[in-house]
Amino acid sequence: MAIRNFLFLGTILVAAMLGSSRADAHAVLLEKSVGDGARLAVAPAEIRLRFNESVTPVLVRVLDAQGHPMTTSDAVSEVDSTVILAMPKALPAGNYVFTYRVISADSHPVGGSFVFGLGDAAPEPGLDGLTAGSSHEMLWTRIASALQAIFYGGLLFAVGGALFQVIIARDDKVPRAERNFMLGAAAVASVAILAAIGVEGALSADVPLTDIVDPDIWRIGLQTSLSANAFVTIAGLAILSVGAIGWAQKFDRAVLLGGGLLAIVGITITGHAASASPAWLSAPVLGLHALCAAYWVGALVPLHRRIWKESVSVAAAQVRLFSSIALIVVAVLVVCGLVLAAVQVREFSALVTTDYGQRLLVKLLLVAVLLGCAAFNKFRFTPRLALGDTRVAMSLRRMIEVELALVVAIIVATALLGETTPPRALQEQAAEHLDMDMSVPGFSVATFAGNRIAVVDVSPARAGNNTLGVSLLDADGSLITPVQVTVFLSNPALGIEPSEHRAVAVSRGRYSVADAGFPTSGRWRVEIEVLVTDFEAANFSTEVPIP
Amino acid sequence: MIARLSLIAMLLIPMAAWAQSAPPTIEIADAWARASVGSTGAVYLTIRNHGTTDDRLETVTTPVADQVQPHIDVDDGKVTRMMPLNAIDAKANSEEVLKPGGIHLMFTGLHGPLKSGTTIPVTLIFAHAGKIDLIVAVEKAGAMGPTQQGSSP
Repeated sequence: MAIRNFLFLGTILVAAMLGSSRADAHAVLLEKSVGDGARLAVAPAEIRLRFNESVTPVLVRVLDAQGHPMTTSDAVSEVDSTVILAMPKALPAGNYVFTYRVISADSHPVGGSFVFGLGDAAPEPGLDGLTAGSSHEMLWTRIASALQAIFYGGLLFAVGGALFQVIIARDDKVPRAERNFMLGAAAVASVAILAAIGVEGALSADVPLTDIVDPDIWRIGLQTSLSANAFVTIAGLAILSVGAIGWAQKFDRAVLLGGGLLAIVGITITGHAASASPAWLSAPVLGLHALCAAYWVGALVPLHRRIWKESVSVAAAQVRLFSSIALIVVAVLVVCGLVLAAVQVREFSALVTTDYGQRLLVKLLLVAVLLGCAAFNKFRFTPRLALGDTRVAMSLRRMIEVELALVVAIIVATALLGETTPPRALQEQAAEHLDMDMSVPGFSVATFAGNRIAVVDVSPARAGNNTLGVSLLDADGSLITPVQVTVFLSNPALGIEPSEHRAVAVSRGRYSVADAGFPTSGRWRVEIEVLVTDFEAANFSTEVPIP
Repeated sequence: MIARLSLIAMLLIPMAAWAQSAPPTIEIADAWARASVGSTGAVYLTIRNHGTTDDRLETVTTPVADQVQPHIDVDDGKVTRMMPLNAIDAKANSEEVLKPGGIHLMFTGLHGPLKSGTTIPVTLIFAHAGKIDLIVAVEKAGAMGPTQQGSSP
């Protein structure tokens, strides 16, 4: 009966979380209104950055050659996916660095910088104020991981304690010691996740340790998706606490269970595991994974106490009930964990070759040891405890202590896993990076003739009809507008003679052949005859691979 | 007979020697990186092709970032657009300078900040010349060029 209830609730949880979906890929800068290394005669009124998605600016400013900020945060505004920095009116001639740091939709900070000069100032070899060591990312990442581990621990013990009371103990009233432990765990988890909001803000803004007292840093943290996660989980833990204390009277067990489930739903809102595509699969599987982990972990502390305090027969009955349900729960836990791992890692080789994979291996190894301990307890100690063997009770308590130590190690390993980007997200970012700029979807190559650069892009770069674009630039990277562009496509290896195509101007400096035919796969030669002016020609020759 | 054989040998030996010890056709010079401010970084360098055949830079890898992709800044007079590139041609007997405002090797997902005064390993893979390992000096965040000129074959 208990098992059936449990599975039923799990199904409801899965159903409730269907449809929560969020793409996980960092924002990418597409355009900037001032080029890197540009020399400007007069200061622009504003500098614009356009990203591939809406972003929240954290720190966008212009620094002078000594690293002093020339703009304040009031000068920063955003319209859709464009961030605008209003420039001060009287900016003296000299060299400047534009630096930006924004938060993308997946709550990850993205930043970069470029240099420009005003007036006749000579190019400077470097800007002293901006020398290295200015990043505090590592420190904040470590603090965030520590808080994450504390949060996971508190959450699992609180929710697991609730599951134990509802499913295994079924007492009228939660024993005082177990109640205090649950309340403590819930409080620790809540404080840790609240602190994590500030740390997330500090991580995004990349400020030194002491700036954590700055209200602006907390405001930035509140804008990240972590805050939604925090508030849902804290609400769940608060409800759970009401049930643990016994304020809900005869509804205590329903309140314990409801609060616990809500707290688990909270952690499926954000993070790498929750946001992996397909989200309809990842978020519920993550929730189920955490719920099963809570059942196991949360039972260890009350069982440890009860084996000592209760009569052997009562304790043995509870251990046996826990153990028989655990068989199914652990199976679900492991299957869910493997599904999440498969989604993130994708390929077996990534387990070894990527940082994420290696950290995951450490976790899996610890889990394997824990499973071994659990199996030993189940098949050796549990039957003997049922026979009333009191000496076995002591051994079982020792084993539970070992299990608890392993659980702490696994929780730390899980928190460290969150520090790294899984191979799955890396692949998606790579794919998005190529897809985002409509002008370069397939294959693009930069080729040269004299001091001219031609960027040749072929889309979709598959056998058949393609669009071939040509952008012509001078050595400074400025687009030039030629008189005429003619493209010849051939495949000497296949004996296919050149076909001639007249490219048409589609936008300033960009020419296109709409019906560039690459009938078969192979390496195709692309020759471009450019009449730069009526008196100057430039001939480019490059290759485009068609897979 | 012997004279004829030695004549053939004399003809063959220089050819064999030429085939074995062909000088490195691709030379990378003045490679440098800018100290990073955010999660992205950029490496600039000069590619010299001393050979008589065209080559092509196809892949760039580094252990210090999640991903490296060549980009070109295209300035149309109003905005600068960044176009990702899959390859950079290295034409026979010519030199291409990758510099700020033009083509650069963009690092995304840096594992840690690129600090001025340090070096980072970068591997370039050319279609014909194959793998070239570089140690790239990191310059200050506002640098527009390398402080030390030099080349690695």
